[in-house]
Amino acid sequence: MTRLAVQAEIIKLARILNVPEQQLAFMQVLAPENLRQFRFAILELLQSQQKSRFRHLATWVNWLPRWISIFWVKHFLEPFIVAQIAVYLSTESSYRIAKHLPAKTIAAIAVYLDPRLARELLSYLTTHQITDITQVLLEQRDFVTIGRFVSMLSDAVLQDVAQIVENESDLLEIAFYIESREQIDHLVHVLPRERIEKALLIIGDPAQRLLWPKVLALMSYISYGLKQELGDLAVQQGEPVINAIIQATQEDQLWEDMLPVVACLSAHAQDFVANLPALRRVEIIQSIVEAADRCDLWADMLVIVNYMQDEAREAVALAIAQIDEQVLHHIAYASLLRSQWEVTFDIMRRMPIDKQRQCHRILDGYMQQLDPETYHYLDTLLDRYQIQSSVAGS
Amino acid sequence: MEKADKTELEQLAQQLHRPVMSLKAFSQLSQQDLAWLNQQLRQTIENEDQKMNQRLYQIPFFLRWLFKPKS
Repeated sequence: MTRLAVQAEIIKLARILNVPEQQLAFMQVLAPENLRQFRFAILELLQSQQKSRFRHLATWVNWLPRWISIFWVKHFLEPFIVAQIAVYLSTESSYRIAKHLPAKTIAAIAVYLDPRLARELLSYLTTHQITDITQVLLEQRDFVTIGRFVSMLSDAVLQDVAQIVENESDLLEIAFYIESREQIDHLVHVLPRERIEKALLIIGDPAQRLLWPKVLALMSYISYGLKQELGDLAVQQGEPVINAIIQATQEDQLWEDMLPVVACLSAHAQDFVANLPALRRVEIIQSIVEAADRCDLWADMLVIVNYMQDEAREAVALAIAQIDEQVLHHIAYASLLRSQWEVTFDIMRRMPIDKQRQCHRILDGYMQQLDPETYHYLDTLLDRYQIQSSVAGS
Repeated sequence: MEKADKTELEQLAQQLHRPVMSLKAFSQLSQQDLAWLNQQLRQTIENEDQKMNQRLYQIPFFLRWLFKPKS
């Protein structure tokens, strides 16, 4: 997960800095972890700036009879201020106040609440209270806040919350803002299969174009095991859905996110995807090859190429030949790591003579350092695939 | 891309109360972008402060004394 994860971080950061996302486009060069750390640093700074102001009031809220505190929270104190005071209260004290507040008020406080505090507080709230709060946040379409808290819920509560989220499009929005990959897996696991299928089918619906990257995000954020499960499920939906995924990935240039997903698919699904006519289009293959090279994804790419038939392999060879020599070094290294020499040689033989010579020269460097058995194996492959020698005329 | 000027990066780290090393990745941003980020962060802090003062002003006078002025 790279480009999509960066996009999610930029949206969250733009919200904090109160600027349009487009103004933060220059930050797209940063890794999602760097953006996330930066976002947390800003949040911590903003919180610590105001923190000392509330200590005195929190002491009073803690000391006064409960009904007075509840009255203050309901009528005098703004949600932001209540969230700041909550930092100084014990979870039990916070709960004693929260249980008397309407869902709308708690939802308003939740927007500003420290997630560490919220985790403990959520364990005190009943499922009914949590679903009511979610309902309010859904009406406000505040998916960022829901995404933040959904990841803290138990399976049983999460299932109930998922039930009140009627639209799969809303589920995708929520999943997009969940902070940790494990928690997205968790959400996908508790959802009924038909809801996941419906969510995947959004990608074929032009009316929901803006949501397509979020479908791709869901597929790329999850664990490897689930990637295979969900990817295979997408393949089962048929060629139009996979074509739509390819089109969306190409339009938004998200191959660096999708290549690892394709590499995770079952053998049958990979064979199906790797040989789709849509994937043989020159501009698409070029984008895939460029993404593989830019993001060091040749190990995944070679797995996919392994399933490709002649026509697709020709297109890959042509695209590789158009990039500088460095790409050949990257491919050679990935071939060594994954022991994918056969497919690499088959691609090499389809390249122009001068590129074959460059490949040979790179391989010569490797072969000097390899054990005799591997040396012999590569030498045989060089012969079998008739790769042109690095020395012209020989 | 123009390399970031170290002082802009230092200013950003200073604003966030973080060591410069923790923002190492940001050195690939241009000086202009880092300056904008510094400015935006300053503005965000000021805005938050103003919003907070407005919020406190809306609180009934008999509760206002419970808030400590910002140090």
